[in-house]
Amino acid sequence: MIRRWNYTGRARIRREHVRLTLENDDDGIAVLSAEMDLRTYDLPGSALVVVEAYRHASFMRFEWGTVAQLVARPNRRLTEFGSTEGVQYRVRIVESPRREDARAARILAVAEHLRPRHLDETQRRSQSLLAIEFADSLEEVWKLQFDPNGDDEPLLLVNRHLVADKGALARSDQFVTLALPQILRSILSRILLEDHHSEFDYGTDWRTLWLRLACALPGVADPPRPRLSPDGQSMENPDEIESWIDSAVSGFARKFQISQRFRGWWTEPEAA
Amino acid sequence: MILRRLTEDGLSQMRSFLDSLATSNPEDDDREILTDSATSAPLPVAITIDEAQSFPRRYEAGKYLFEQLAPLRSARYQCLERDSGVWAWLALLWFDQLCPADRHGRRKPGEHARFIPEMVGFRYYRHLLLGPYVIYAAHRDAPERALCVLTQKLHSPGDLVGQIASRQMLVTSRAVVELATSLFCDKDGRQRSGVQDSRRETPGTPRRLADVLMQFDLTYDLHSISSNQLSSLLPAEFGRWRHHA
Repeated sequence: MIRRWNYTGRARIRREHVRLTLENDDDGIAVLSAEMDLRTYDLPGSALVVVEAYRHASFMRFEWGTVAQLVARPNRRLTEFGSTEGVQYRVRIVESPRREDARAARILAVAEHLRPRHLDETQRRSQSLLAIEFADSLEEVWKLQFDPNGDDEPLLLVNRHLVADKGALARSDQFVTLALPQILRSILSRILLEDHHSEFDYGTDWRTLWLRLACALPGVADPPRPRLSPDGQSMENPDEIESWIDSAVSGFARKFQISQRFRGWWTEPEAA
Repeated sequence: MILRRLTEDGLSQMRSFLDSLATSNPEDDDREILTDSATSAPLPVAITIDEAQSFPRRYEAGKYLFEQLAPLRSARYQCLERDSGVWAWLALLWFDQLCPADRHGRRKPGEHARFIPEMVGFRYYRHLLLGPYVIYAAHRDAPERALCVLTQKLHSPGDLVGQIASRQMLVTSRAVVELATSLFCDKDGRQRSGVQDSRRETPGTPRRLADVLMQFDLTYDLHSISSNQLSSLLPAEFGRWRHHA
């Protein structure tokens, strides 16, 4: 993966300032609604607000007026997607267009990886950082999958043929105690040891969000910054980072009472 | 034939078949999987698929499937459009086109995802039929614009497809696919020679274009930009293609 450098100065819109909602219409098509509070951002009033929904090569963009005057278009049906399973959402604030072939419009602010609230209870998704999706071709019960390009957040894939309620699996004491700590370890290792991600404070990159989550766990210090050798081929401080990852996973285990929950369901088999 | 979907047993048999092709005792593709009620199931809507269809490029496959599978894009049957059993059934139907035998009669199918799609995550585009279908659908208003990722043979998409189609931001941008088509395809829509170079260190390759465009994506709105505007931003390393465009 080639690392991308964000020196653009574009602002990050906090997730609490954008609330997306989906509700099915009479034809069973999901309709998107949004509430945004952009007053605290230093953005030009004429900048365009767009809400985007995307999955694979399917993409829909909904113009939502300007920063000064948010106006939703009447037609906000997600007709490109059929089922909204796996659809991702983001909001972008874009320079208002200039005359034809003038300078390309720049992105002024973004809010990414937004999770809409489904008014239809059966479609409600987890609000956690880890998206959970069904997979058809898994041989395992679950699998953690990373985007090979590193652009999108990791997915927890659940075997559709073994599990009917993926959310219930992810919340179960068995999964939480046996799988989740290792999932956290894998994700943090990917972020720091493989991607060498070092933006800890700003931005909506999924790696930054995961590092912030880890830092908020009890007893977890700020992560050490990955240091590369002068030729960029190897890391100089992998031990330091692995030690920090261990501390983050321990903090996770403490916060979610992993030992206690494990004892709650685990029974030693009786000796023969 | 009337389109069906492979059941879990059918998918399992298909995986065994694909795995067998890498052994010294390759199985024949068992056509009964397509119709046997234990390995395939009917759809609630009748869709005729012409087994004899021959697709010279991904473009024709995407176009044919986009037209034939129209009922699956309706609200009533929408879940079937993302059903891996449907796409695996289609891949098995046209397996000879998707995985042709070499002159020694050997087939090299590659990863399962080329025939049984991974509908979630990031590898959907590797399916040799679903990939062209979703790209054609995304650019259905002017599909020639997307020839950069549709002009290839079905069984060998190549690195250009991998670089563009694997990145949602690129494959959904009209300007990006139009620019990539103008750079990497000739006036007859054929991929130019030299485009197959997949090295990142070689200037002007599709891989370099994808890296540059993903960097642009941090600054510019790739969904409102024009291909001319985008072209004017490209570094000089792409000049050799623009000379032809």
